[in-house]
Amino acid sequence: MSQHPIDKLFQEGLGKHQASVPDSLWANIAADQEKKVKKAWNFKVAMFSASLLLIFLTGLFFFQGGQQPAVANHNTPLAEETSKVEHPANTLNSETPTASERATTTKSTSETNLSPVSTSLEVKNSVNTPAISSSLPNEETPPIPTEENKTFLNSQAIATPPATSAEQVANDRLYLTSVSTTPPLPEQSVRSAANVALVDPIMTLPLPLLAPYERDLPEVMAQTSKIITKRKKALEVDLLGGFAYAHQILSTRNEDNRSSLDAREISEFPSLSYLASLRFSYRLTNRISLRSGLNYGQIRNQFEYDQINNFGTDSVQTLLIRSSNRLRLLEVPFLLGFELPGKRFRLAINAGPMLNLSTKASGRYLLPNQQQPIRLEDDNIYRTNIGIGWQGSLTAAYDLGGGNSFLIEPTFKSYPRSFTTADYPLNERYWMAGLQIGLRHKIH
Amino acid sequence: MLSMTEKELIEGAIKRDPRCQRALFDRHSATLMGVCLRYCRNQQEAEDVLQDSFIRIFDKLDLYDFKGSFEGWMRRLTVNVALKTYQRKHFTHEKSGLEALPETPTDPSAYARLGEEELLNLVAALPDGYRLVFNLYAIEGFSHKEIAQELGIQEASSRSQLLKARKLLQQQIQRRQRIAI
Repeated sequence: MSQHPIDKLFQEGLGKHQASVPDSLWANIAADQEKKVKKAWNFKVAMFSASLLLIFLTGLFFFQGGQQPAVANHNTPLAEETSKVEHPANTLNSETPTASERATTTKSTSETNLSPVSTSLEVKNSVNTPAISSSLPNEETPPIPTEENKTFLNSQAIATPPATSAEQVANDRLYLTSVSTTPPLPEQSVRSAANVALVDPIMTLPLPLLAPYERDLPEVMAQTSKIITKRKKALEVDLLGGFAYAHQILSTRNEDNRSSLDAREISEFPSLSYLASLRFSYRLTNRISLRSGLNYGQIRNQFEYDQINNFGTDSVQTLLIRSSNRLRLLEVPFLLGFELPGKRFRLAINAGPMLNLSTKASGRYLLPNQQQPIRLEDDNIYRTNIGIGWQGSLTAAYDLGGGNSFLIEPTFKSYPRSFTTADYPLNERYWMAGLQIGLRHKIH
Repeated sequence: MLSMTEKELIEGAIKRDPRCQRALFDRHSATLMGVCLRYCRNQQEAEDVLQDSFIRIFDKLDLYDFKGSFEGWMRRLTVNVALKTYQRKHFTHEKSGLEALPETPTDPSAYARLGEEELLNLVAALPDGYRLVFNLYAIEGFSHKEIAQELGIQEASSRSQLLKARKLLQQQIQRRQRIAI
């Protein structure tokens, strides 16, 4: 179909038209970008602080109640360790036979005559990096560096900070350029292929641990950068927190314990419970993601009982005492997420099991026919690990730009296993329904 | 196929490196300004649309998958920004009274005397709706179905708007021809 002459005229005349742009335009764009960089930085700082806080709370949870430091019973092993420290050469010799063997095999080719006993120390002195040579594992210890590249290797090993994928590829290329001019050591060519095969590109091992003389390495690095770029684009981190209702289900193991059940049912009531999650999502396809991370949950019940105070024969005072019973849970969820696509607003349905890492109970409960409550911790009636639970949630994500999204997530959790031990006369189960809000950041 | 240099610039701009962003701006701003001038009524509006376009380009740069022309990707984004600017101003069908005017043939030599600036002025003088449809169909190469989806109008409306735009432009060209003579 031929083009209309008017269309053709304007298409040819204006299709490639260019016009000048005032300088002030870039200033406005640059100012906007600066604002966004600051926002993203503030967000990262906030996420980092929140993660630290979560890790701190987790540590506090694990070590709450105190653990005895194991000092008094370990005098003898300490003495043995001291003797090891005093004789580092002997220790290294006994623990690093391959270093000695390697020294022996390279002795014939090396210009320096090294004795087996002092090999590791000689290596230390020659490269001026005692920390590196003593800390490297035997199987992965690189070949003894030549004069030309040892300084470069050492500076890379010590000083190179964790790099991004683009930086890592750039560093790799720079390294290859500097090393490729050195002649390969003949005895290392066989190890080279094995070392390359063992490298996990995602873990970005420090360069000195890779065989530098492998001819195919540039190709591997190029593929690695593609994989890293692809995977980095598919990874997201979520930070969520919120409130929940935890429904307590008490039941007796046999009818003789009915009074225990009654005592607890009349004294314990649901209270506001808390949820927090730090979660990583790995996008398998456009719609399906794997989500895992760390869940913290605090099931709270209000405990009430009447405290009766006798002030003599005529005076009796009854006080209603309220306190909080808490069940703290630390879990690792393994969720499969199915996302409904959208532009700025996306919905995802998540479901899967949760593996309980730790459960800790605190609070009090009433025994039948007893006025004073008993501490939950004293009687050791709660399990420290409740096994597998199940979680389902609906995540609504609103794109805020810059790889960030605002999240609202109603969630439901079910714990089929009883929180109480088999010795305790009652079964105590829970389900939770809650709402979390949070932020998601796409990791580049 | 992207040159290595532009690819590195894009990767740097994704990380919000201001030097890479500035380099991309310097490379493509003139072309995108030409696009904006076609969709806007005046220089000021075009500058505003260009500014919004580049902000959006830098925000969405991580969505560019390095397949296809980068300039084409930027142009599509710029056109979307221009369209959304006018949709916010409630784009409505406009009647110009030209429905009954038959299309009269124009002397082809009249077209040859028109430079870029004159063509731009002719397009800028069109009513908003005609200008958008004409740009999308005649210069960007969209189909009427795509235009209808983009602008939220009927396909038949897109066809009639284009017809009217052509008639108006033809009228203006003939007027210039008469003045020139």
